[in-house]
Amino acid sequence: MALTVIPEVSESYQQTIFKEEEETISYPSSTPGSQSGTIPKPKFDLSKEDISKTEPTREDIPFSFEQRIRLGFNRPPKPWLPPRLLQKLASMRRTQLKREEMVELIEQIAKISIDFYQVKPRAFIAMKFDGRIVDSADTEIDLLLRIQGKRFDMPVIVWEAGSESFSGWRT
Amino acid sequence: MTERTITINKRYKNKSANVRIVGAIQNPQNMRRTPLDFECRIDTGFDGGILVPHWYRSDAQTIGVEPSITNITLADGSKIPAYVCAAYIHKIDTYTFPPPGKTAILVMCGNRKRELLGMDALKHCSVLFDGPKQTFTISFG
Repeated sequence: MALTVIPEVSESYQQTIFKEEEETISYPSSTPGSQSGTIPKPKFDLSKEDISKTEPTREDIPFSFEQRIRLGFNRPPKPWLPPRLLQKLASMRRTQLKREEMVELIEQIAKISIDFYQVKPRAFIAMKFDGRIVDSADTEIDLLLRIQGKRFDMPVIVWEAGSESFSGWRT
Repeated sequence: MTERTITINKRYKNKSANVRIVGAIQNPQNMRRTPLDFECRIDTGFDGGILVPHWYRSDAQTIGVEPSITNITLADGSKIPAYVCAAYIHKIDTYTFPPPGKTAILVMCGNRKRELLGMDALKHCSVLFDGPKQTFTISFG
């Protein structure tokens, strides 16, 4: 099993948590929502000459994502996310997020969810944009096969606990 | 009984090792599938399965598969959001995998038509690059 402890959280308890958060706006120090803009951006000292012309880069466009990402869901997510994230999620119903904003949002939701559910490092989880875990597995492909074709009421994020990204280039 | 090893030996094309991939994205809920058939460049720096442009997402959606969102790392270390789902590889060049095929992570991002075959898709075979001769060999077995 990938998850160690999955506390059962009833709907009423979640609403209580949410209400408390709204009123007190206090979070444990491990919750990134309590530290605004705390996720450091990596610094690169590479010049264009350092990067081989054949190597794909952001300027090279091959892996540039759509400039704007639209995610449509109708119900505002509720449980334990900090108000700052809730506001961002609510704003996604009206506007589109930039690529960098999306990366940061995914990281923050994943961190809160992993901390809350105490997910073991190296476990792969699928969570909704409200931070609720919908499935977990020990490998990436198992996780993707388990959620493939299933319907969820909002987009699903896949994540590896303890990792900075799900896939990509080894650096 | 000895295991049979099948070897594919090819020349580089445009200075890179390219192989043709035949596969499919399948929806296990309704067993509908959408085919994949393209030439991939082998990229040993990419730890995913197959990388394709973002418009493959709409192909997946036509069979009821909504790809998940995640962050992936680029070669320069920066991160971008991407869509991912599971896919089956049926054939790599002339080698056919036993049914239902080999599962692989399909990463959908970018808008240039330059498909890549990553290390995850090649983890059960050995690949030998011969730089001076501009050839490469993939052994399955």
